[in-house]
Amino acid sequence: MRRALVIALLACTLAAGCAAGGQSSATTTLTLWARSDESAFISTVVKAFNQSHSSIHIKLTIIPVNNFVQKFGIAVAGRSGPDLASIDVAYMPLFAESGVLSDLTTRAHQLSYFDQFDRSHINNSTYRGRLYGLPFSGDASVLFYNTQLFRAAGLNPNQPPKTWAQIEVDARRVTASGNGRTGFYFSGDCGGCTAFTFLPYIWASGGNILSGTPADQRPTLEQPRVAAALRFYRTLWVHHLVPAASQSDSGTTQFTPFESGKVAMFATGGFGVQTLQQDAPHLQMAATPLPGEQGGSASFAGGDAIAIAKSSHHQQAAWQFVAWVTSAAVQQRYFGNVGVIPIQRDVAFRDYAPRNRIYRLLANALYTGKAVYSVQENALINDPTGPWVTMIDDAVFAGHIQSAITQAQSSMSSILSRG
Amino acid sequence: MGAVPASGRSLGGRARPRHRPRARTLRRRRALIGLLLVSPALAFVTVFFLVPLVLMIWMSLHRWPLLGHTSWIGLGNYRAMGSDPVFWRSLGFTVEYTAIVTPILIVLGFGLALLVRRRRRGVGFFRTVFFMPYVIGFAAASYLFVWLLNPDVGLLDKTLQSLGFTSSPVQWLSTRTLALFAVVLMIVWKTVGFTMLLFMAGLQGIPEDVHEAASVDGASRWTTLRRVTLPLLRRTIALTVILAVVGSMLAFDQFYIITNGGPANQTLTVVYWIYNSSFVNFQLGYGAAMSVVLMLILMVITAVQLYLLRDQAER
Repeated sequence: MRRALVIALLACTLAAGCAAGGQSSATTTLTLWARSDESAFISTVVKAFNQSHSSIHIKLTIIPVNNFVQKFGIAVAGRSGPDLASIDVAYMPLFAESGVLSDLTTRAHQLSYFDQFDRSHINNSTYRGRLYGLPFSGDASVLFYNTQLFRAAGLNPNQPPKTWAQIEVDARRVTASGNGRTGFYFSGDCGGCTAFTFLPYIWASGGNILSGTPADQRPTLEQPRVAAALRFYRTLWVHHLVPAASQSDSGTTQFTPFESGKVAMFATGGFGVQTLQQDAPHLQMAATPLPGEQGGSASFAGGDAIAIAKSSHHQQAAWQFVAWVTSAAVQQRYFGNVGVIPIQRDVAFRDYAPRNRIYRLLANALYTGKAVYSVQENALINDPTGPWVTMIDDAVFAGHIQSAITQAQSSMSSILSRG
Repeated sequence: MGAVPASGRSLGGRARPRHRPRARTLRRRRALIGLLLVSPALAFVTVFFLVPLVLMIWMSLHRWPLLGHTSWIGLGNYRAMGSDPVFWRSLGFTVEYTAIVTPILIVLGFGLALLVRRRRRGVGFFRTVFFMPYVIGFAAASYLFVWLLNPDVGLLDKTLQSLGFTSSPVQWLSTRTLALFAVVLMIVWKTVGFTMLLFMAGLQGIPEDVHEAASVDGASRWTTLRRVTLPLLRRTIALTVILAVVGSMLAFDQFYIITNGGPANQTLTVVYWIYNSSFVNFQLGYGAAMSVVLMLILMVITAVQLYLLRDQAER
């Protein structure tokens, strides 16, 4: 014991950082990787943790969002990854399956607030009944609309569309009101964006794009609901109710048309609210759930999970951060207060939702939402040459709905069958 | 060409009767020394080619994620290729790229070699200038072009504008055609010097008296080139064509750095897709299967080329 202490002290005097930081000799330094989308709030979270914990120091590294999966995957495969990672829930099945994350099942169930967690998040972090990550930050997709444009087109801003037909009618009215206005917008060349904002139309109408167990998954694109949703977007496109920029928008300029005040309807999530309020503070907007063909609604429950790498030598310290960051007080103060949907139900509905109608809607959307569960999510959905992006391009912009579906079905089967 | 003795005959077997024990020992010793001499190369090929090749074929028969457990799926990865449109599109693009690059390299390389083959004033300078880009790595050359082609700070657009060819910066990487053009430009600039060097060596190997004989017979320069020089360069042409085709079919660095496969992955080559499958989608087994198929395609192409360009005497 004494010997260990001497060594620790010696190591401390030798290490410049230790002397300069003035931390006690028992400080454990943990590394945390997060994607660049979270840079707005995550540094505050880390700073707050470091200030309130003298024995653990978190070192945050922000990874560009498009490289996160690759960088993290290769790093943990080479056992040189971080101790902690904040991972997009869409990619959790991949990492949960691969066995590089610590099993948190037992410890998670001991948390007094475990039942408060969003179900969809928990589902995406589970593989074969074991839990490999806890919810970290919440997000959900809803349909935003410009109330000023609705009024100008003679529409009642308090009666947003509840079916696809109503979206089309409202879009026609706004487009017909002239002045270069258009009714609807979406990023046509962005897999992540269309999964977040287009897939819910299929779900809300009772359809789905995948079925089967994670180990034996099949695409179900030939269901009639998928074709119907594609036809719905195709109609909006051929009648010029969508700006031409949509076709080549890979997501980088997705907010510009709606921010310009010339587009009436645009689906996005909580992160979008922050962007819109920052870029276009005078925009008058409201939000409504993404509807099904004949009514009903659905949303994509997104956000991040927090996970511990199996290769980390500081499992206990890492868990302390996980427990702290998912706690009610932290979720309220550092997530809810800055506009990120808290991942504890009570916090979300008690503190976050009452602030305004959009937050209430987003909280509802998250806790009733679902997500894509597939270890090949990236290849199926996000890959810019993948089947999902190609199908939307061929069906919506080129009009070959049936062949686009057939092709994507076979291409998705190919991806799921190989390895 | 008939003057060269056939190399297959052993020198030891010619003079003495075959059953003499001394000759046998000598032959065995020679064989042993030969084996000893090639053994470093043999070991090198085994460790760095055969073993990885066998491992790659083994991997291609598995579901082999970058992380996690592997499982046997037999020919599953090969079957999946049939319904993978990205593979076929990238293969088509790679063939197109090869078909564009190879003729340019051969014709331009041969032309440059004709220009600088004879010793005269200043020829050394031009030989150096033409060959210099070849010694730069692909990655460094690609980054150089990324900068040259940049619409805001690049040299190319500035030059075109001050010469009055364009009025506004060209977005070089915004369309498939322009992006492909940019890569072809870079590759030709970078590798044509090597083709030139091969042709120079080939031209130097043609005895001067053959050309003299042709001019005595009254052949024009054009006829001499077509009927004498080119047929004698057959081996050099075969070598340069094979090198250019194989190099282009395996193109990766230049597209990875300059175009990033874009716009919208329209300049995705096969190797780029193998890379993406393996290290973005983490499907290493599928990447290995595509590598095996690409290797087989290259073997067939090379075999056909060798057959078509084989020596007159071998026909």
